[in-house]
Amino acid sequence: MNNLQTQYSGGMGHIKGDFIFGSSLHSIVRIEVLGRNSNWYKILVNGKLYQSNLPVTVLPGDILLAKAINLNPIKLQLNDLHNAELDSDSLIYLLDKLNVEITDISLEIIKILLKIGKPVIKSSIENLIDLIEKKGKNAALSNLEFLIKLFSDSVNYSKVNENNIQYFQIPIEQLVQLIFSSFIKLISESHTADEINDLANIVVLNLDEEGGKMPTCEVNELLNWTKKNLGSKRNEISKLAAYIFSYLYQKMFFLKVGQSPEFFILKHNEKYQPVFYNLQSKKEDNGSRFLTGSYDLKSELSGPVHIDGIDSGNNININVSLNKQNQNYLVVQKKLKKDLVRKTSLNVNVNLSEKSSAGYAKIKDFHSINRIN
Amino acid sequence: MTTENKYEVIMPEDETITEVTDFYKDYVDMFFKLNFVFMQVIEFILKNKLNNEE
Repeated sequence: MNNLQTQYSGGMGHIKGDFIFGSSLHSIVRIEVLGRNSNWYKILVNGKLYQSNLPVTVLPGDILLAKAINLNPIKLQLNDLHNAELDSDSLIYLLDKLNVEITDISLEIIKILLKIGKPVIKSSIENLIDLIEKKGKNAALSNLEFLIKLFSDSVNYSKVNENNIQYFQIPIEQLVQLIFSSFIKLISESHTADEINDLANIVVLNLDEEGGKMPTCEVNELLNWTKKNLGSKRNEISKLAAYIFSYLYQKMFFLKVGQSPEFFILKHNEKYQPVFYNLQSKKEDNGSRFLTGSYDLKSELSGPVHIDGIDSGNNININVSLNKQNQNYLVVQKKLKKDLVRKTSLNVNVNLSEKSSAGYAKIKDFHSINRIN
Repeated sequence: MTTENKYEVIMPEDETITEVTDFYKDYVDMFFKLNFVFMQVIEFILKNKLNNEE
């Protein structure tokens, strides 16, 4: 039996081994899990026996697909199997490789798994089909991509049941919109309730106040506010608390799979704007973990701005792409560097660039900020 | 339950509130630093534009 080595790369699963594999480059291979001994799995790869420590959670009997991204030494990739849109014949071929019944739902699931780059595992697809049946086909299919992001991982799937499935009827982005709409209704009243001012202290970044403090957006503060106000006599306040509770409930599931949805509310000139982005934990090839996220800021104040961030533990790298502007980039970049140093005391690298007409960033300069002790 | 924008408002049971409270009680937010920097960058960008307007 040949040994395979397993590694993660940028959050993607790979299987690696030093042998010539009887398959063509970039072809999709079938992996069948025969058994598990400690961290090692006994597997069949296109019918040939190997052992490997797979980077996904599977049980004996499960089947998954992988892409051969290198043949000598062999390297198999478990996710991002296909970048382009696949036709239904190709999807049927892949489902057939997995021994999954071909239905409208299974075709839709595998299409989305491939689109968002998730591993394609038979048990995950079957779990998702089961979930859709529990949830009601029509309701589930309208939010299928959201459900797949959250429940294609077996850790989360094992925790979902008929009692809590109702919390996933609204995708988290839409939940943030509902929280925002309800908040706006309440904060705009002529006499804003104390409860809403308390909530504003947790979630609002107020640009109208010079030197105003950052919102904490701390989950336990938000949870305490929610618990206090779920039973409010005012229907709109209890409804807002219920939306925030659903948000925190969903966030708990996202955190279990290494993702952290974040939201806060911007205030400027008495106008409000919701901000929502998703941060993720990923692994390097060497197993070390890093955090990453991006956000497209759309504001009348700024125009479109793209922000990317990576926290590698020792330092944070920030890339900001702006539309062409009148100001000198170097001046703005220096100001941003100075601002971050003063406010965070972190080891941060900043890269400010101009978006080209094609939407790609042109690097103008690169500045490093040293840690302040 | 009421209906708002086609979505149901879910009033959680005590058991669910306890589940969420227990989860977040011991939660260490490893995303805190990156999130804080994101907020600072967004604030800076918008304030910088503000300064231009003035």
